[in-house]
Amino acid sequence: MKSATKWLKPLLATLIAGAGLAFAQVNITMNTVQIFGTIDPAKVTDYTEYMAAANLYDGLVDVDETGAIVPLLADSWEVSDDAKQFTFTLKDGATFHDGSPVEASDVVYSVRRLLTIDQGPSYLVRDVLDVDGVQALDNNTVQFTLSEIFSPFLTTVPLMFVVNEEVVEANAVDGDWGQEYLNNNAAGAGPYMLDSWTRGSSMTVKRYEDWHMGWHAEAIDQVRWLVTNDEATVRSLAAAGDLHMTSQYQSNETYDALANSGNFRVVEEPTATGFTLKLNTKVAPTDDVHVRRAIACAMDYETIREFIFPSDPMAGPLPPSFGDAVLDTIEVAEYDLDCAREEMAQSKYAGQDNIPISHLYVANTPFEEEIALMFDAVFTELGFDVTLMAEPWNLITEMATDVNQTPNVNQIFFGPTYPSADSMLFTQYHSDAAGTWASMEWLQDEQVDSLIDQARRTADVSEQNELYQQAQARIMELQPNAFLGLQTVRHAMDNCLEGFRYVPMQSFDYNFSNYSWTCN
Amino acid sequence: MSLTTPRADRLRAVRRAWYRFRRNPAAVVGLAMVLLVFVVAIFAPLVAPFPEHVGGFVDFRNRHQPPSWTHPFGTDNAGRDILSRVIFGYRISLTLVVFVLGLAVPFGVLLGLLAGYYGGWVETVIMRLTDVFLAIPALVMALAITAALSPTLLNSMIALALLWWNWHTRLIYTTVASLKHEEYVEAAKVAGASDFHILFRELLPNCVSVISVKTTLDAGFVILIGAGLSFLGLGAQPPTPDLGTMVSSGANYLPEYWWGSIFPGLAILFTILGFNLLGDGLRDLLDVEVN
Repeated sequence: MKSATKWLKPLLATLIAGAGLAFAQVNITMNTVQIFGTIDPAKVTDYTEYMAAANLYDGLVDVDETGAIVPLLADSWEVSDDAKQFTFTLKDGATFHDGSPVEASDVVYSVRRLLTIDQGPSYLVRDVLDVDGVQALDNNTVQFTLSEIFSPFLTTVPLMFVVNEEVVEANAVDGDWGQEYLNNNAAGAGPYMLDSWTRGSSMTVKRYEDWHMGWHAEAIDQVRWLVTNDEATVRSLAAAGDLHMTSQYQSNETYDALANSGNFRVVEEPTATGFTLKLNTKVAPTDDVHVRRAIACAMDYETIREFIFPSDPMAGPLPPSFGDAVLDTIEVAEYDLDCAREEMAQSKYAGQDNIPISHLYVANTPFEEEIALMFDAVFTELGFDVTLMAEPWNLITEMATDVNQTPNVNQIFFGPTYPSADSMLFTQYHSDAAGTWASMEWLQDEQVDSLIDQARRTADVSEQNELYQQAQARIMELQPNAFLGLQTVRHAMDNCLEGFRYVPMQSFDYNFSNYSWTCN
Repeated sequence: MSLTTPRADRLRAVRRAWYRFRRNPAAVVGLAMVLLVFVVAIFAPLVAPFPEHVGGFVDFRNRHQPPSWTHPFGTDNAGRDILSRVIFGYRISLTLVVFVLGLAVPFGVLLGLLAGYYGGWVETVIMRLTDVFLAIPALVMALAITAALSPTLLNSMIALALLWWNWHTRLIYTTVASLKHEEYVEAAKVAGASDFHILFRELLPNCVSVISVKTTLDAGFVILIGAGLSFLGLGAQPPTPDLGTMVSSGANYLPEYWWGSIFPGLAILFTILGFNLLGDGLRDLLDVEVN
């Protein structure tokens, strides 16, 4: 008996200490509705992928809640008088996840890698920046030289995530810039390190202790993203205490149920993300502007905003948060079936019956299905033969690359990827950006192209805003969208979890270093 | 035995069978359930309280209404009457049954007859092919086929038909293999009857009871697997009122709005139970082994 207690005591002590440690660790779980396709910072494109990248990698600068550019890996920067040269000074003491210092050469390598692979955010700058346009002046200074003025340049810099040159090159195969490696691993200087990743089901990241910005006392130690869009699963996970934050795409019923459980609250923030029907302007019958206007007249916006997808009214392509760049004479569309009939009567399809029209939405997303059902009800009555297509997101991005595979009507969310009007206009409407899920309108209009181009080459803000307003007027004339609403982003969050603030930049609001756990 | 029964004898046999059938309450209940489903499905537009809720119709102000006198099964997430959609859903389920079994049963029976009667290499080829198909789990294969083609009602019907014939082949094969040595077959052969005559006039009529029992029992399973496919999003697409799809979309709102999923689920249960009771009753009545 005595000998038994002898070893029992230290064992118990160890167990208790272990439990204490485990308790001190803050591990949170959030669900996402889409899979992480890639985490390579030169290839990320959608909301989910940027969410991973924003936690694993840091760029030279960051964006705050107001859209202002603030220091991150760079302490300070200077812009030349001709607005073509940007010089960044790196801060001291920043390290990558392997402990090696972040140097100017890493930044140059990362930007060249981005431009060479050319699959992610590079499309923003590829016209004005080439691989020789970025140089390390010394260990701490990086200089970008643009071929011409590109006014939104600074706002795109946060998307140029810095990778660890040494690690990437050590794992490169046949000069592939380490694409194979960074597809499955992370080599950044961000607040979190990749811990595990099961493609299609979950990803876990853990805190990088030596992160250059330092940590606050209530920091989150580990974040796990669970891929599921099943409402019942989300609710049962939350009830079991295994979920601390929902995705922003749950149904009203789920938010209500979680809020009623007492452990969660629903946080809401207005956003600049537009939820629109993107109308393929190149295939029949949406190739006719009157058909597109009929669609814009025939959506029951109020019911959508009130009952199906709570959101704020949206008038045109630019959300009001873009201030003076917004053409404020555009009125919010209203549900008016007579207007739809009049427009149809003027179209080249007037008098035809059973006009085939396809409507695409993301599979297993109840509110999108409800909007699709609403569309089906109205347009069957207006003489269309509606085909509803529910497809998984990865197939939708694939369909968007081919104009003939792009359905007539597509339910898409699009928000600014960088805090500039250019982000909304160029990415969705410029010909050079055609062929992605963000530009399923296939607008390809010379006038719109040239207005966006001119705005980019203009350093004078008021002149630039004038051009943006003209571009919006022209876009409204062509009616490539029905603007359903501006997303009110909503998350059900554990009462102990704080820190969600909307940032007008691709998924930067899910940088968990800004979050805290208040119940220790 | 089967060739020259006089009409009166046959009538008497039928009456005797009906008498025995009636004494099996489970079978009678099964028959009543199946008949009810058929009648309701055929006269759906007359029976359903809100036939317009079946096609393109939405009324979001009336979403998730609990069961009431107006909407006995409640309303779904688009404010549509669930009872009406269940009634029309039966149409889809029964179409599926008729299509799948209408293709699979004749095909399977024909192969079974040939394999059982001829033996030799015909048997080897047909039965090994059957074995291959039997080795693949039906639902998995159906998933693969509908996912590869596009997910529509027609494709799921084709996939199920492709997977269903083999059971009938095996059943008829064993039945025929034992029947072909019966005296009346030998007699027909001696009398110079053609193979065609023996296959379709001597053997087939003696398989009818096995086939009908098996087919009745199958109907329930076809509905179940069909509902499974559409539950997974591979069957009929919205707004078509398919029972499996309704269970699946209702499941998004469990447990608060339980009626969206429970009633279509019970409706599936009702049909399958009906077909199974009826099939079991027929099996006892006709005294055949089907498995």
